[in-house]
Amino acid sequence: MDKKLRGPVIINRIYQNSYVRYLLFGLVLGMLPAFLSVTGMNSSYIVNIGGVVIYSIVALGLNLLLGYSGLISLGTAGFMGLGSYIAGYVTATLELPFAACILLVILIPTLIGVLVGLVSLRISGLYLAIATLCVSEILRKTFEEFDMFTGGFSGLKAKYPVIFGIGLSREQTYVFLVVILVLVMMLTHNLVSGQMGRALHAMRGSEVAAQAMGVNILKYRLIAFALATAYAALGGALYIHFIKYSYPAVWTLSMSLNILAVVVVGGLRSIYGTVLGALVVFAVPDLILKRIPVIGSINGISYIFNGILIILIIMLYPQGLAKLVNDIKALVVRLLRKGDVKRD
Amino acid sequence: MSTLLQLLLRSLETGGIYALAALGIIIIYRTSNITHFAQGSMGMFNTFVVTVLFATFGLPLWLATLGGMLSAIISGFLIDFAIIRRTQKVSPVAKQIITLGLIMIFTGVAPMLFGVDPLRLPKFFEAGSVEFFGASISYNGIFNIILGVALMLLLFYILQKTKIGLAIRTTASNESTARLMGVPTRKVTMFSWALAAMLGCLAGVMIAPVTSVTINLMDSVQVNALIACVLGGFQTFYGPILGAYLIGIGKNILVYYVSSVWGEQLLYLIILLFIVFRPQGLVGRKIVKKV
Amino acid sequence: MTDTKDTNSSGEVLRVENLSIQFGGLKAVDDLSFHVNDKEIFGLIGPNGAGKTTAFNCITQFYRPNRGKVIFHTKTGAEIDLVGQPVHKVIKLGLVRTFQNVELIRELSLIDNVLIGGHIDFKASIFEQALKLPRARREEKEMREKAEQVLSFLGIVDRKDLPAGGQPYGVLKKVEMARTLMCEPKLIILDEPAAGLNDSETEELAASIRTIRDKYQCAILLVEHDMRLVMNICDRICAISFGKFIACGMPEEIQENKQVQEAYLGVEEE
Repeated sequence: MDKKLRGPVIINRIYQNSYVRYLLFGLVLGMLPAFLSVTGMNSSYIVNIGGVVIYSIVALGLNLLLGYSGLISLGTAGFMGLGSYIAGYVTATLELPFAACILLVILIPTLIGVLVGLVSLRISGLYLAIATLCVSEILRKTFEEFDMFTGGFSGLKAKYPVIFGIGLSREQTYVFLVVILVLVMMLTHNLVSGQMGRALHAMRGSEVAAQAMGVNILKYRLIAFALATAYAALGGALYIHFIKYSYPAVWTLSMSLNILAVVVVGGLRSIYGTVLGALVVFAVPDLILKRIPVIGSINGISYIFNGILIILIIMLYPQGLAKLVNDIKALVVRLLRKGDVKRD
Repeated sequence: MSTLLQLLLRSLETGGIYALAALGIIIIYRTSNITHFAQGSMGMFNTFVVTVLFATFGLPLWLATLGGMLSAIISGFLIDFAIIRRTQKVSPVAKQIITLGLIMIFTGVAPMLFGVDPLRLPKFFEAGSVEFFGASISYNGIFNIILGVALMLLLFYILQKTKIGLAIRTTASNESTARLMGVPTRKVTMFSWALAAMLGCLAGVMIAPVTSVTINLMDSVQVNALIACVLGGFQTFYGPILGAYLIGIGKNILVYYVSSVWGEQLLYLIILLFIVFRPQGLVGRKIVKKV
Repeated sequence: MTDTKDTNSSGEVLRVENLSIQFGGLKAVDDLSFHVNDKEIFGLIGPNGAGKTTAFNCITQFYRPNRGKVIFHTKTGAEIDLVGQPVHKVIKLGLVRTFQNVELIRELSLIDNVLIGGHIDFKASIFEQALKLPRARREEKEMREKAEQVLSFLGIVDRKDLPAGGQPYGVLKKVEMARTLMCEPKLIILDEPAAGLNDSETEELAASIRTIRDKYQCAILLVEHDMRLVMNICDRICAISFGKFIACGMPEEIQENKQVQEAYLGVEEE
């Protein structure tokens, strides 16, 4: 092999490794606060991007459910809320360590998620979606009424997490969020590229073929719902420890629909796409639009823009932004190759 | 006895409001194959129009409401024309996201045009009530109930007995076949979106006096209308209506007699269990899976 | 019902006894009985609407028959009545099927589709898979190699990473076949494997079926329409009509059987 090609080839091979890519991605994302403070930009951007990170985690769970398993859920908000309340209660009221909080947050909602999974065996499609909405509403109304645990309408407060005795600052919590996101991305990647992922694909693509090949539909439906719920609850726990409060009016049908939008806009079955989708749905309005002079200060303009953007993406690129990015990459490669040919 | 009657009367009122919204949702679902999550938002928007016409321009309430109807028709047409027409090859899930986009648009346009402060909309009949076997009901309540029922009957008459109603039912049963048979499906979808918007506006105008006119005006109506559709089944037009009235009754009875704190959750739980045991809804037919 | 009787003595891999199923008033399958021997290529034929597919679905437990037994001699040597078994357990016992409509997952690559056939042989838990622990990694590697071997045996290994969505029909049929071979079955039931194939492809298919039987030492039950294929490769054939048994025997016997001819061609004029 030509000596001058060896370097780039090695780098290329390292880059091909998915885990390296996730780590690099996390690195870039995690350096954001440093970048912001250096360039002197408003540090409140952190709150928005942190939100994007949290919603990405939740949306990845919904992607497992919808994109890979083909099951619709509108209950995401309820489970995210449940996670936030359990987490807040554990750290603020019970004053247990953060690790205990994560454990309980994943355990308890997942049990309910499994029950919902059982329901999914009887009903499908739109009926299932509304049934999950029912569950979410039951949860939300419980948040409102169960004030002993949840603080009722005014909600629950929490602080930045304390890990191994060290209290984190806002920027450090943000980095913690990014770390969790990268871990979740890698875990998800492992799951969908192995036996479980194929089983979910089969369940979605052809239930009869899946059964004929030995896939226990009941088991995998339950697994899909359990995972989606666990992701959502984890997101909720991170939410309350970063945003520092949680109240019932957050966990509405709108929130569930927004997370669904993240998955669809980003691209079903695309891990990076989900993060991109979360950026579009949750960050673009606040980060970009509100900063534009004159237009930005008109009430509601960011909502309108976001709505139009989402509709445009669905209409023009129904497969999501991930596909758009891939197409752009392919185009760039083709253009570069044309340039190479010309040079020869 | 009289409390029960009172509750029932109140349920008819709430149920009627849900029923109007649910009817809008089911019509859209059966003709455009989209789950209309934005029914509430559109209703909210058009109710704002009514409120502004009433409060700012000083129109009498009934005229303002007609103005709202007009705005509803226009918004319905616009949406069908600009968006729905062009979504033939979009997946069903993606179509739901489009209605989410609509929610966002309406939620954005409302404060832009109407400001962020909550507004007040009065009832059709401010005062006066009637005694009825020991239960009292306001004139407004009676009016709402009768209006709701009358509208429903009118719409069913249109559906069953008129040409446009036949066109709607044909399109609802199978859109491509209907088109091939010469049914003007484009007109049908346009009409459906306008109709749904009008029904949403009316529901909003009915519920507005109870709370105030804000962005979240129709949130609970939206959720309950959707659940009514699932309870009643998406396969017929009258199933969701039935479901809506049942939800109205169930809510009032459970909240009063069982628990004001857990009543609503209990209702949803019961509905959930019902759906699990009877997935096709109250009046649906069972769909058999073919291998 | 498990019976530890030595199954090699009977030489049978599948025995269908008095199988009946009706839908409403219509008897789709009526008191059907036949058996398939070990390592035999067996054909189930009948005119359109004869109930072949229904019988087949009853055997593979996609339908629950009203009456009758489906005795299967499993890989471990046990004899089990398949009736009442959950659908997804059937493959574990050593019986696998294909689909006439080629039920592959469009978005997955060919090799991933084949790997679905190996689903039951993965022992690593979800936890292990999520963390890519050694056992999970090892299993994935081994199964992938096995899948590649199977694809290579069928001559399509060069396409293994392409998505199933864009592949020609003939290739997809081969992938379906490959999928069934992953579990090293005792009996493969092919659902109209020649449907949609032209003459040369059908010849190729015939050769493949024979090679598979020889290499994998399994029995193959063909539910098929294409008479030439059936007469060509089957050791024995069972003919049914209107859900009822007509005849069973060697291809020549079936060809000359009057009732079979009547069923296909109608009653001969005297």
